[in-house]
Amino acid sequence: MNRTKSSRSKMTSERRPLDDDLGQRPANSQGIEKLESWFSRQSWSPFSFQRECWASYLAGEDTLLHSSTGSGKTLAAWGGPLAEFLNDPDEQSHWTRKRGKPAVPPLTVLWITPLRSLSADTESTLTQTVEDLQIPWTIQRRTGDSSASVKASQRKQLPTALITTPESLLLLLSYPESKVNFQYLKAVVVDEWHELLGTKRGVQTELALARLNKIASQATRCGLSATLGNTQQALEVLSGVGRNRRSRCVRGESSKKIEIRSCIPKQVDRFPWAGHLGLTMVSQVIEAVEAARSTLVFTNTRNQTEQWYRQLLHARPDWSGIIALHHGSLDSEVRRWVEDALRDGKLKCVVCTSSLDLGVDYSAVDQVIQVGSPKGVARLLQRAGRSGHSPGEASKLLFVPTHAFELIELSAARTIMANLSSTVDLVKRSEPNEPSLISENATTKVSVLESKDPILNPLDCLTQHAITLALADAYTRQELMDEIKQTFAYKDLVDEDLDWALRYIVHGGDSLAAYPDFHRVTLEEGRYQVTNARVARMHRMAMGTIAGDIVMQVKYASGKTLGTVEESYITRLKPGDCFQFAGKTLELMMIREGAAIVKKTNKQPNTTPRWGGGRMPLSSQLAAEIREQLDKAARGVIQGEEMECLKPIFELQEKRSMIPRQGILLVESFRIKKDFCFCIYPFEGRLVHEGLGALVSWRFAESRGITLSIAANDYGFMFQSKEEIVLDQQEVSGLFEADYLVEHLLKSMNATELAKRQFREIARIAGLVHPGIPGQTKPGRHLQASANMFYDAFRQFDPTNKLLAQADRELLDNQFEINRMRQALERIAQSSIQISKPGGPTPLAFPLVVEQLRQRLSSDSLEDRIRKLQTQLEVESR
Amino acid sequence: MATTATQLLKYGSIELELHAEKSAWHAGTETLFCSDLHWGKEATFQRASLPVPVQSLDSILNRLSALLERLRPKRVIVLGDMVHGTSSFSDTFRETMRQFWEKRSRESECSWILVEGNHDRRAKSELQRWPIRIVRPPWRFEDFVCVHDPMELPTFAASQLDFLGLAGHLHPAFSMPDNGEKLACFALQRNVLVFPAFSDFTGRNLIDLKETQSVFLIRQGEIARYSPATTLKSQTHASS
Repeated sequence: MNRTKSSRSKMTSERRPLDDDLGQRPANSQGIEKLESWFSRQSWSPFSFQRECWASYLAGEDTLLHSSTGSGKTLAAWGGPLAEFLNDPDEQSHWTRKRGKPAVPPLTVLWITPLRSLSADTESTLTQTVEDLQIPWTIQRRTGDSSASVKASQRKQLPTALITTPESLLLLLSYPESKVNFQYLKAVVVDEWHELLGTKRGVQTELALARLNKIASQATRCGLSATLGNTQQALEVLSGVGRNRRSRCVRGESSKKIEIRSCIPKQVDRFPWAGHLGLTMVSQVIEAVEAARSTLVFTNTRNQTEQWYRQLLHARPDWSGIIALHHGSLDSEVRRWVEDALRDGKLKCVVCTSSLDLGVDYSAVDQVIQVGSPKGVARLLQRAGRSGHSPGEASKLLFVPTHAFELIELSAARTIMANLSSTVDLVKRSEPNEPSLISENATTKVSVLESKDPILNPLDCLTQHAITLALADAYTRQELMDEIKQTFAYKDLVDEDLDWALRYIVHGGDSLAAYPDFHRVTLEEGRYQVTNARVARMHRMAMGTIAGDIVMQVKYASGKTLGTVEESYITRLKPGDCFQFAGKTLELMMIREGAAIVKKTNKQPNTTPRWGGGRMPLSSQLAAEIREQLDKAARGVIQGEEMECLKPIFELQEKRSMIPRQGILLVESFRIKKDFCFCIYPFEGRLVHEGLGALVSWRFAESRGITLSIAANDYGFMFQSKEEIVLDQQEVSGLFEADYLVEHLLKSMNATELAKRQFREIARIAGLVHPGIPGQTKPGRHLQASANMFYDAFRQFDPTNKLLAQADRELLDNQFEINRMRQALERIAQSSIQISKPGGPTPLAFPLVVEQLRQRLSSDSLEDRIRKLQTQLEVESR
Repeated sequence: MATTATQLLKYGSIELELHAEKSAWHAGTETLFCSDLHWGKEATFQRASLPVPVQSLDSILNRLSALLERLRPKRVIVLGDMVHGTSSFSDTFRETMRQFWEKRSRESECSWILVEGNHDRRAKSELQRWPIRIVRPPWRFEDFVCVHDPMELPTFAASQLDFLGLAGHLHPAFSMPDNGEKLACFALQRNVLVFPAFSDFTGRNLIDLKETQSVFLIRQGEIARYSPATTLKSQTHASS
């Protein structure tokens, strides 16, 4: 059903052949001409990728614009709809009429962004263009931060262009009037699509797109993304299934030069510790910051951000006021202030986390410093690309290792990037004529970039969406199935899962007898609908929050908010504990009404918040290259200043044990005091190693009745026992047997606790628990329950509940990276096992020994664990 | 490794047997103590369209029935929050409870005493129909002062060792320092023993260790004593 009388060529039966020269603008396009002349008035010239995006839009195609760095994506997506309007500004369909007079054009462009903080910048860019071009469009934002009055007025009349988040969009779609308000939609832009892809929010976006397609099938989709290993698939997910619309990948300009250098430590520790914050490098970083105009210092965790900010200020008190910090837990007002000051070039330096990975580019920034391993090449490129936006300037990145081995990671990243730049040309030549060529001929090279695998069939998102749709309008099972199946995520949805989800929202679960008083969605005459106003209110309240960890506000007693911290962290603190947050040292006074009340203090912080995020594992591409670099080092081939610097460490490693080589799995066996330790180095990233650790530990307990303690990092893992363990090569390979992998993993003691943690997010999305939404009224106290409680109750009484199975599956995929683990086991099976007995920790083992002291995953019985703790305490209290 | 399902708490001349079932037994008076049963919570949740299975009530009742059959107590003292609230009294719940009380009256002579808790207060009119005696805290029983919220304890008991306060309300839990696992526990804080919630479908609150001499941790049918660091010395002294 097409209500628009658009002049777009997709409406005509004639389609432009694919092998057209797409860089050229279509003939007779007034709109494009006006756009081009606006560009030249700014003394700019459109990039060819921008022209290609405009043409793609005018041809009615879905587009995915991707580039590893660089800007201009916003105008690439925005130009198409503008040109279309300018082609024929008087065209009737552009206007809604109020008492015969033309009013504001109806919602035409929907701009979905994953980050609220991005929306303000997008709004100002879009507003500027329509003002300059004298286009009578309104542009507004709607996010969780928007005021109630704005939200209310938007429910009646939406602006011509709306910038919003997936959550807020779904909220709008839950109202019956969405059918009217969205009907003239022409373009949906999904900004930072790579951030959404592979997440539940991405699935929610897919579901929202499917609904929009039902309301306004004429709307095309445009994704803006970083370059991924699976860009083609990213387009497929965006475009959905069965829409019968052509789609195209467009590669953004990435001709920008990137200069990367390492901050080589003056003295390389012979034993690099894990978890150092790299603070010994402060003076070198200060020198670098001094020399640049404006610097972004990226760290991997919010903890590091706080520490670095403190150290920089400590070393240079005169920088107070011109350096700042920025991370996702800070209050939005604080963040906005930092962003504005950065834009105006007022800040010498900002210490930040991935919170500044995305978004507008700050032209003042001419240097990026990366503290600690970026864990993947795509991230390194993206971060480097945050600097050097003045014409002709290169992106500059300075890498600061936090321990010596990270220098190998950078060296590996450099090698990958060198391969990549030769690949880029290859890709350029084969696109867009024969996209299939890329996957066949260049797989090995293209795959050096990380992929983001889309999530398939998450039932929590399905149940959530089924309720959302039931709020908007009554639907039949078939209507739901048809709509859902248009998404990539649910294209293979089986009847069984859909029926379970429907039973869940109507009856509470499979066993009818278990939930006699449950009513969420009513089923009448084959149509599903929400009739209960309270259900509607609670659902809308819950769906507005972003899936993620549960957070708590940090406030002064006066009520001023500083930001948020994960609940799991803050509840571990006692009143009186001091911690570093928002660049200040704070003392916890109490936890009241879901907020942590703090005061400023001069005391030394005794703890820094450890946020959940940020502990990303090494990407498999980077890990593979590290193995290669080590292999070269073992053969005496040492290239680059990073590897050169590590020479003494390599020598020591080789002397005591050996440098791991390709085709060999190194096992080191030694004793620390009375403990027997084994270190194994598969180099597969922390998550895989944690999984392997749990697996080996469980198999040990089964076959020999010995309990082990496990520690893991990105390079390998260690297990330790009080009892003597002797292992030969055959026994080692037995421990890494791929048979019964999943069964054994799930049985390992940790699995239950981890699955519970995984279940938290599922419980929230499926509407079991209500998140602590700052500033919003919670349901009554008598309705508070934690995800853990539901997990236990379902496990015990409703074990076929499909949300439990989803928790297990997500645990395997996300926590243990099961596919990567399988590959690792395959590789291990083909390697020869080398057991060395170094007599003590080697340079490679040392970080693991340190890690071991910090965290213990044990499988002891409760009494044993208590005895251990008690003995420890007795020793300490002596 | 042998596991234990009971632990003996000695407090002055008072002896209480603590069960991994989250109940306690006073042999001298043949009394069973438990707290925070939150019967009917599943119905309250279902009414708010949150799917908590009814079996979670059955499991509480079954665990309790098993204890009653094993110990044959003269009385049961519930330290508050026997029911979750007025909204718990659905038809299904009423029927389940009717059957429960019928069975109890058939099987043994046992008096039930409920020390009124905050949740009970809301459902008082419903509770009065049950064969139980409702008392207001603080309520003296032999060597014990029974309350729901520890704050309800009168100050006179604070200095006297021959009284032991018994309370619930807090749903005490302890976070294992080794892996962060949150375990339900009995907590001995000065002269008050705080009971864990008998119901499994309840939240758990971490206890303030400064105030606590001993905790009795419960995990999968096992109960074990643990004395936090601050009181370690006095504790080892007392137990020797």
